[in-house]
Amino acid sequence: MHGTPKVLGTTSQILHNNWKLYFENVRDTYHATLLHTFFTTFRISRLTSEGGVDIAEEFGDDTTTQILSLFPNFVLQQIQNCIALRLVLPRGPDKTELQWTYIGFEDDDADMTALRLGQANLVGPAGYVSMEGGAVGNFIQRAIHGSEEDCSVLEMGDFGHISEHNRTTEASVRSFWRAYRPLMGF
Amino acid sequence: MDLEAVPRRLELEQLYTDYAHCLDADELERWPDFFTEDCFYRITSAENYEAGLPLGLIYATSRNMLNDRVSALREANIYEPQRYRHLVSSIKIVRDVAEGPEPLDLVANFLVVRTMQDGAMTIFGAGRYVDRVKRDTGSWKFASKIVVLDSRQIDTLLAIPI
Repeated sequence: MHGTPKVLGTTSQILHNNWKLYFENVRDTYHATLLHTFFTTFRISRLTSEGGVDIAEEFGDDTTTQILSLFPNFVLQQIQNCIALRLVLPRGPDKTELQWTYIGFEDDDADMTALRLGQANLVGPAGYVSMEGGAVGNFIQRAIHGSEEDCSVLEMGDFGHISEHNRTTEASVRSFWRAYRPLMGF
Repeated sequence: MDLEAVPRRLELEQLYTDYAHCLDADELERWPDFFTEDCFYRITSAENYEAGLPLGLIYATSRNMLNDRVSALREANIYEPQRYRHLVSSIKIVRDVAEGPEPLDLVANFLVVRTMQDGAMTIFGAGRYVDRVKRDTGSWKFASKIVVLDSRQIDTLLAIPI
């Protein structure tokens, strides 16, 4: 237990795509540096002033970024010191609401809160890193209308759904479908 | 309104007019110039604002952070071509000079219509600016601007500032 969480604020993002496309995006472990070009362009550093980004080691596990997705529609995100809960709510076949709740902890001092609020610029609907996530699902949604008889095969990293020590795998996406299909009777 | 307040009123209206045209004309590189060097800028929802929750969708504590935002939009982030049309109205001086020297506190209403490349238009946001302005090298600048959106929902993404 790290302390008592406290809410720093909430927001909601309307995505014009099926909810499962968002969940595939979250579980796709190799897309981050391809889609979110902010990571590679700026190496998470500022352009107009000296210095980089402030990161406080919080949990003692040497992990600074972790996107934990819980079937079927919950995501817990730690990007540096920015912690957020994301709830994925289907609003129709091609509309999804993504509800964000940003948290800190009761024993955060003013500096820690300032750090979390500054790093919150990275995520959310206007996030340096994550704003593309609002649009990319819709790109796919639009593209698949023309190929409804086709299918895609997720075989990067073989066919398994086991833990792996690299990110060039679709194991996590396959795991989602493996849980989804029997529930839906497919 | 006494006579001295009239030119100040015109100057402040000009500030909001120039600000809106800067964003709508995609002259984002000029956008940070509307702020003081140690400015505060935040976009949030009425829900967060009224509950006293500090989160910002965009959260900047200096003009340099606004420059960073523009750099990222130009160089890094991927989003579909789009344009805003700001309608700013009902500018109200909450705390006037008569009550003390600068800064002045103002609120103003805004409506932002977003038009996408394919022509689709939506009311992207409506709300109020909660602002603090002061004179800086001869002209009025925003020392603080809190963009309070009436809705908690953002359609797709928020790239261009409001």
